[in-house]
Amino acid sequence: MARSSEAEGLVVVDHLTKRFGAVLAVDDLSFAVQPGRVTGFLGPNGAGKTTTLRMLLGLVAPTSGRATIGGVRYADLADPLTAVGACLEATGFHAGRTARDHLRVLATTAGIRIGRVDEVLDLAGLRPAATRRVGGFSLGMRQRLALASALLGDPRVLLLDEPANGLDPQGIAWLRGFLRYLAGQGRTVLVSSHVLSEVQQTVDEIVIIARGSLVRQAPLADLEGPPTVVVRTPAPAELTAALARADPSLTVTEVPGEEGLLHIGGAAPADVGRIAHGAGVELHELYGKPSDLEEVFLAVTAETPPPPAEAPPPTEAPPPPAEATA
Amino acid sequence: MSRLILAELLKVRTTRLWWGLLLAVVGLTLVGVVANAVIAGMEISGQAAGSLDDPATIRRIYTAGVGTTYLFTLALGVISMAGEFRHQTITATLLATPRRTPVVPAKAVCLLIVGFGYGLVSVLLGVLVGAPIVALRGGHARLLGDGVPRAIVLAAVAVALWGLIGLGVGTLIRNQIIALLTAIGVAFLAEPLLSLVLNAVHAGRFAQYLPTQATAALTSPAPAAGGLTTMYLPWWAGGLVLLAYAVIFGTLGAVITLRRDVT
Repeated sequence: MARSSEAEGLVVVDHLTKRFGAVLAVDDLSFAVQPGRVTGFLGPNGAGKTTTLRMLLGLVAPTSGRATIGGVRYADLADPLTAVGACLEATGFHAGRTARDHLRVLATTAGIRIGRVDEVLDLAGLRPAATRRVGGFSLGMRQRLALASALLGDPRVLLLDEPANGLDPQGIAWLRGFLRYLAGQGRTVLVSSHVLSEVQQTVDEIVIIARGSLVRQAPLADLEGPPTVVVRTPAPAELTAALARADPSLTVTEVPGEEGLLHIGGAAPADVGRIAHGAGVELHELYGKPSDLEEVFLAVTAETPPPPAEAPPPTEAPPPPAEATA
Repeated sequence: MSRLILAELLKVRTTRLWWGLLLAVVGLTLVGVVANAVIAGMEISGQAAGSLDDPATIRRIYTAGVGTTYLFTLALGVISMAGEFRHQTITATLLATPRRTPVVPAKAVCLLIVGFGYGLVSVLLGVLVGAPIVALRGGHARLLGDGVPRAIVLAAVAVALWGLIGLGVGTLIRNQIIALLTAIGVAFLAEPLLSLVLNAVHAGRFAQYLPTQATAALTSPAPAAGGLTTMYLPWWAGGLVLLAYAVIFGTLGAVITLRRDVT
């Protein structure tokens, strides 16, 4: 890893556009992904995440624009598998091939030494299943095998499309630690998801897209905003007045449709409890709510105009069900 | 390129398809060879099957398995590409080979090697089983003369070339089931029927360019198949015609299919 310069790990999406017939899947999208950190690539289903990743990997030809890794297009990389590891949703495995054989085929193609196969099987926790046919694998095991494939070439850049799909809670926890570890080694890690909470504990930076366009790119901390306190009281008006008297900077919002439920921004639960106690206001609920990124996410993705009536782009359709071996 | 060919060979070796097909090749070859060797020289419904004294009959016995073996290399060729789309392994293949041009040639070389192997198994089995029956029935085995060695080698070559035709079909038609049904339906039913009809209406000069007729030209021409006079190309022209089909399908497939987006 030491040999690599910063520029080698830089992933750049530059005015990228992709049109599938009438559907504009990706619309003049630009962003850059830095090495040494985990970047979350977020957007609702059909936002164009998979199409963008596939354009980065040369699988889908852009209608216009450029996507580069370390300054060159994927197809122009001398040894693509040792430069970029990709884990794509619709990457299949032959059901009749064993996990180890799948990796051996890849290693042979890329000229990677065969000994590396067992190393990545260990890394992905798949060693015990190495000689089993993939047809008998659970979704989680397939994800681990996809990840092992991505790591085969010890790449500087990792592009992972919904890698948490199908993983059990332990698997997700393992994945989080693993991605952090990889980024800590100076690698570029771009991980897509349509569920923000899934990557919230892992990512340093967030790129949000919706309907093919960039909505926001920011460090995670910038998106989180101030914490919120939730209270339920039979006397909301009195509490609101007491809060305003105590600290005019607090923002108090009533939750519509919920009798007596208030969200108080800018305060800690202890502050609110003290103020309510001092004013003699009865409280039924009081808890601090960590800034709900999911809400931020929904809010920022909703800022863009409503989707056209046509069908979502075909690229994010679920893969067809696994079939029996041919 | 050599890495790609090795990887393709590994792909073939690491699933059970190859020996399933090989088992079928062996079984059907046995049936074909025994049947041909037993009825040679007999009179069936007023028509004499080729005499055991005729070298062409002996060649036909040894290469009798080719009449079914080519279907299995055809299937292997179809699956070699269409299977990548079916199992979505095409993504991994193209990630490793983003400049896509070598993908089809690498598969072609692999299929020639494996297909030639299948062909050899079929014709060697043909000799192994056919020669004793011929000898038992009082014929000459002619193992080293009368064009027998050449017929045997060319039969294996023909079987290998059908793998390339399959590759072309599998590249053009990405749906594996449809590609398989189309390839086998055409090669086993439609096309032999067409050549029979063409020969029946004295248009054999067109029929001889059809792939199964070109195959027959390469292996063991039966001048009076089905009671009709049948025209065949010279063996080398038959080989070239087969190769041409393989190259045309493969190139068309590579140009049309492999340029597309893989989603």
